[in-house]
Amino acid sequence: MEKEVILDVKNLRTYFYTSDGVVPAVEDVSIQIHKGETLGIVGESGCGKSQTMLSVMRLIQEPPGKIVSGEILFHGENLLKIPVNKMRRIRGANISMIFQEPMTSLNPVYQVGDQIAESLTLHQGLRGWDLGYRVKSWGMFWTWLGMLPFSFLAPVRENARNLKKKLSRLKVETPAWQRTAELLKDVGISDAERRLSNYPFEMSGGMRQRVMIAMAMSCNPEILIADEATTALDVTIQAQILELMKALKRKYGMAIALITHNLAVVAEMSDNIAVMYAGKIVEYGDAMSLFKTPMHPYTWGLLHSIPRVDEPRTDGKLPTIEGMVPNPYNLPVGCKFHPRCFRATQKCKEIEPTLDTVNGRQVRCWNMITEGGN
Amino acid sequence: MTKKDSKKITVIDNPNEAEILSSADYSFFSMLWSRFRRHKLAIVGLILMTMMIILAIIAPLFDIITGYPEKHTGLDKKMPPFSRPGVTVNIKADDWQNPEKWKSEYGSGYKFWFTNDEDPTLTGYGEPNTNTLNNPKYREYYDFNLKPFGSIDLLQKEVVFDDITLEQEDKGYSEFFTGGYARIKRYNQTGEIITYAPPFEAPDTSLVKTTTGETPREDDLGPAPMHVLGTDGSGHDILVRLAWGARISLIIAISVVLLTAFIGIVLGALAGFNGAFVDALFMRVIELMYSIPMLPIYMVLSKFMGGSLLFLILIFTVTGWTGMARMTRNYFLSLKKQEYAEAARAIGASPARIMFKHLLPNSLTPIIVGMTLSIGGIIISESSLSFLGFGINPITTTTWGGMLYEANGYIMDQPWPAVFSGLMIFITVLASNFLGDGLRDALDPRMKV
Repeated sequence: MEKEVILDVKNLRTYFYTSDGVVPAVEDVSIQIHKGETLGIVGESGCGKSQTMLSVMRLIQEPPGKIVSGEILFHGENLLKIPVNKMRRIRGANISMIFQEPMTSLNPVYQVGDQIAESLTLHQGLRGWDLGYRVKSWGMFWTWLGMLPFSFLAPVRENARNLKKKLSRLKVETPAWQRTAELLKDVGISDAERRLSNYPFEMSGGMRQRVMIAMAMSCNPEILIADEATTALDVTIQAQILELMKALKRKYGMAIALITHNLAVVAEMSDNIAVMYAGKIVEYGDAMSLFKTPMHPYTWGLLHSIPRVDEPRTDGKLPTIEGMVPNPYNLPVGCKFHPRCFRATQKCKEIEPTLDTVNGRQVRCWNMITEGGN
Repeated sequence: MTKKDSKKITVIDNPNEAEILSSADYSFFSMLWSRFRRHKLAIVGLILMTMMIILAIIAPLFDIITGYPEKHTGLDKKMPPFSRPGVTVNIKADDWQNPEKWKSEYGSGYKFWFTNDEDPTLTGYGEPNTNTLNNPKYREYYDFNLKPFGSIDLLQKEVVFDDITLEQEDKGYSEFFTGGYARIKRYNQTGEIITYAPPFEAPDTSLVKTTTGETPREDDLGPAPMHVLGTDGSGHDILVRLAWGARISLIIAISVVLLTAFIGIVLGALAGFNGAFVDALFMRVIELMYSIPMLPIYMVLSKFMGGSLLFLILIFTVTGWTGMARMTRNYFLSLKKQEYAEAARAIGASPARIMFKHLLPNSLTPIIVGMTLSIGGIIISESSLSFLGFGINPITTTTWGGMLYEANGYIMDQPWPAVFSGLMIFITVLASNFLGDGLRDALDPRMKV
């Protein structure tokens, strides 16, 4: 039974026009994201996986970047055709994104509660901190006055403290803050009401990533794009965050696009996997079967360069994919992977392979690894 | 073991107390204040700046306290600090012509202020000169041995003051603490005033005589208020003028700083955030404005437009926003690449929201420091413009630069008007720089004091 397709990206091309030449960051990429499913996008650094998803959000830096052609259908509506302000309403509300660096992705000058509430204020009109604005400014005045080193200003300090308490009450009573506290509880932060008024520097990396997820989750988006969301975290926290994302996916029924170069993460999370190389999809299909029988030599290489505990130890070296990622300004003719490919033939060096569908899986290779051929 | 290491650890039993402590210890402003406080010079700067602002605010009070309003021009010109003006003693023409009676009434050896309206150089104090008093030639004007102000010795010889130029006489400033001296209001035969009265209400003859009928001594005379910092060439009280000048200087400095900050932040933010064409355009405009020598422009414009306060603020704002714009632009260029700006875009924030809600608070630190530091520069520009005579009209409005301009003519002889107004400019500029330095050190998290 096929689930409803929420996001349908068709033949997307995103190019970067730099002074050194044109970089085809995303070249002819077509992916679908189904409702409530997770799509993993895997590849080496610079293969265009992040740029694909940034193109979907229309967050490509322009210039130098430009979405050259293609269609991004979100519920059948082409996101590339709609005006900017409508796109702004979709960002955060329907499609939201978690970034790689939890350390720098939160604004250091605002309390985390304010930052989570901002999305709610923007999209759902829930008012947050601004309700307490007058109290806040008076409180600030009394606080500043109270800082003067005179003992007779003690009542001023008392007043400032009272206003601060009043402000925290006011804040917590607003709908945005209540929803924010609920979100923080959802992402597994204990003592959420108190944590709301923490600044980012008062939190650890894992907690900040949870806050980021809460920010992205705040408007119940249909698609959550996690751009290397767990890369910067240590393995324990990584596992917790992935578990959390799974739980949230079950609870809210959203789809996740997981961008990563960590195959273990993809294996654990994804329903479908797209493997990208040099801006193109080289293999795209169901996660289980892709891991079981990789058909593209690149996928095969990736999977076999992971040491496995369940296989007998060999004395030889760990298999690797030879060579380097091609220079984006000077991509090889023919198949982009052929200089590193162990199955490359003369045809691969001359003609670019097409994305063919074999057994329900899309593979871009002339000599794909089939059951018999391996 | 250093002092820091020996800090005591207090155990907190009461959870409420812990909350109060933590909220007090970790608030941004209390941390800022604790770091700022360590900077001794910054505290000095803060105190001086606050004093200047208070001085500017209470300037009208000085009119009342000293008794010399801002616009008051007395005849006590170029008086040194701590001097009291003369006390008026009205002497009728009859008495005047009878020196014996005069002497018996006021005592001998008594010093009197001597002023002359027609010839301002004939200002000073002196004793009755019996020789000249009886000489009809001198009867009208020159009845006194005049001691020019500031000189140590009396001019002993009988003088015809028409020939005297006071500048040629030896000058010393031993008489800084001159007590109250009588000033004479003289009448001629027809009752017209020949020698002129001081501008304030002063005791008449009945006050000069004490209640016991004794001859008053110098100290008993006159409650005339002291010119604490002396007077300038027009007879204005310098202290009062300094207070009013602080008003103008600070009004100009603060309003120009705020206006330039506003314009500079908006334009700099637009340039830095949008980049490309807007950035290039604004930067070329700024470079163009940097290449124009501003002083001649100020001079020409103020000559044509007339020196008013609003005009000066306007012209300093129009020419002064470039520095702030450039600084803001530089910060925005680096901040817009930050991940939180991208994250804000990803939750659907508009460019204006990202600029002013997310990036501006993060670049506010250097902006505040720059604003504080530029206060000094604006005060200097305003003063130098006034000193050159192109600033605010010194007749209608008191400014420190204008006082310098007026004092310029007699700076070698009577330096105090120039010294005090220069000192005020110096102190304010220094205070703003100290304050800016302290703020920078306190706000910059990378600098561990």
